[in-house]
Amino acid sequence: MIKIENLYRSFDGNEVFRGISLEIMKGEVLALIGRSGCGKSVLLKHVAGLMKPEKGRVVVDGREMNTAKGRSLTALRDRLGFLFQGGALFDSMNVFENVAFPLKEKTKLSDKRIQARVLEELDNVGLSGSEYKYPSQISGGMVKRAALARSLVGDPEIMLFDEPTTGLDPVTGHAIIELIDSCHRRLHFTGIIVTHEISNVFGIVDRVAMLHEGVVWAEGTPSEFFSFEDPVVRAFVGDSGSGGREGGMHEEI
Amino acid sequence: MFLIQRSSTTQPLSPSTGSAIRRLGASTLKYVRRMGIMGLFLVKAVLFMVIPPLKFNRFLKQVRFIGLQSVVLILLTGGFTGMVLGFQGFYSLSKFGSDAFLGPMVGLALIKELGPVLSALMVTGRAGSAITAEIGIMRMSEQIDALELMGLNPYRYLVVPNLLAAMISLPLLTAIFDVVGIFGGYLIGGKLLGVGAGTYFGEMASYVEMQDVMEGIYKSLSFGVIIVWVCCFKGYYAGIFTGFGSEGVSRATTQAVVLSSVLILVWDYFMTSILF
Repeated sequence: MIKIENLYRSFDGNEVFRGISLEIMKGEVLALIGRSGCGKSVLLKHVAGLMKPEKGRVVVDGREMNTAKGRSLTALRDRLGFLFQGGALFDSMNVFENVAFPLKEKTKLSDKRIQARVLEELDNVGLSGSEYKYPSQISGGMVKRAALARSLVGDPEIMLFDEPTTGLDPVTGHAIIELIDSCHRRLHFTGIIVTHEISNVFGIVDRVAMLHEGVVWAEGTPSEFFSFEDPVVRAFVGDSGSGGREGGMHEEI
Repeated sequence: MFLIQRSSTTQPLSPSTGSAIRRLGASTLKYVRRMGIMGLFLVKAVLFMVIPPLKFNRFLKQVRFIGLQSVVLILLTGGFTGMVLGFQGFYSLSKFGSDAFLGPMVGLALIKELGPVLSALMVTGRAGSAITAEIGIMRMSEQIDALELMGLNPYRYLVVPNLLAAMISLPLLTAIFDVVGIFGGYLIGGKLLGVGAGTYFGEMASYVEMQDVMEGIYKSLSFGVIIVWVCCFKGYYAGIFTGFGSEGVSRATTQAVVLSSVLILVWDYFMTSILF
């Protein structure tokens, strides 16, 4: 469903991508790992069409993201949800208004139906009772939940998660990962999760790709990752157990 | 076929001169590129303003913010500006025995020049800086990216309502400034320094024409466009042109106020020379 073909991108002469190629099948969830500053979030923004590569292309469901404009780009983005690292909630709106915003602006649903849909989604993410609080009044974990609800309210086919647990304590981070997993089981979206949380995320993804020195350094299932001999991979994932979605079964770490 | 003979006196550029010229060239290209982006920003804003739909609720909110909430500031500055003009005008005109013309002097100065310019400068400092900061923070916290990823046009939410609100609010605020300033001038010139009300307002009516009023309106309209154009642009591209984080927003806000103020004064000159 998502094809990244031979991507090149640099910033101020610093080459970030030197021929990245990756493919994510429909319904699959891929974890994108790598050292800080290797370009994981930048790659995610290329998939979303927020950035354009200097060379190469990003193809989403057969349509090229980097050349799409106007209505065709809007049509692609209508099928996409993005969970930003900081949540990116609109701070002049409360939680309810944030989650309702895409429905109010993009659909012709009645206020009553929008209200029902928003409350259902907030209940799914465990935020019932916090609808009328503003982003500045809720915790980091609640911000992420609200942002997740907003990105899922349009039933996207593709979900992009930019470091969903960064800045959260381990318990809350684990809860967010569990939430992403339950949403995936419910909605069967195709997903990319940019993360440093090896132990949590490896338990819910189908495949892992590691970026290093501007290329996809390693790619495989979570179990395969733990058995890679490459020193760069070993230094990153360590020897912390095994895990992963094997044949669709979820294993506890 | 010809042979180019290099003069024996020609010296190659020293490495430091060469790199200085390269740096100058790179800086020039960078600023020309930014001016182009800024110009395109205005074109897109005007385009999305004339092509529906308009985000009406957001537009009303911005009329309230830019216009209504600036009234007290305009009343104060207009009043005191008029009072200063009353003092200075009376003593200057008295030297020529022309204190009877205090009314037209105050009226024309306010309506044609000080009203539009000072109103615009006050709105720049109050509302313009706030607009830059708001949009800049939205940029830093990826709220603008979130809007784009929802398939929504950030210009329609962030720029167009401000542009339309400023184009409506600035002329109205200028009118309030002028009226309050004229009465401020009368308070000093008439009540304090003895110029009669009939003389003050009568002479003003004789010398101030509709054309003068329209000049002030055209100026304030264009100043409104300048304020929103510069302040929205600086906020929208905060983090891209001004560095990241709170320092980037702070820098964008400062640059927006300074550039708006300078452009208002420069454009005032050009408008005055065209309309004179």
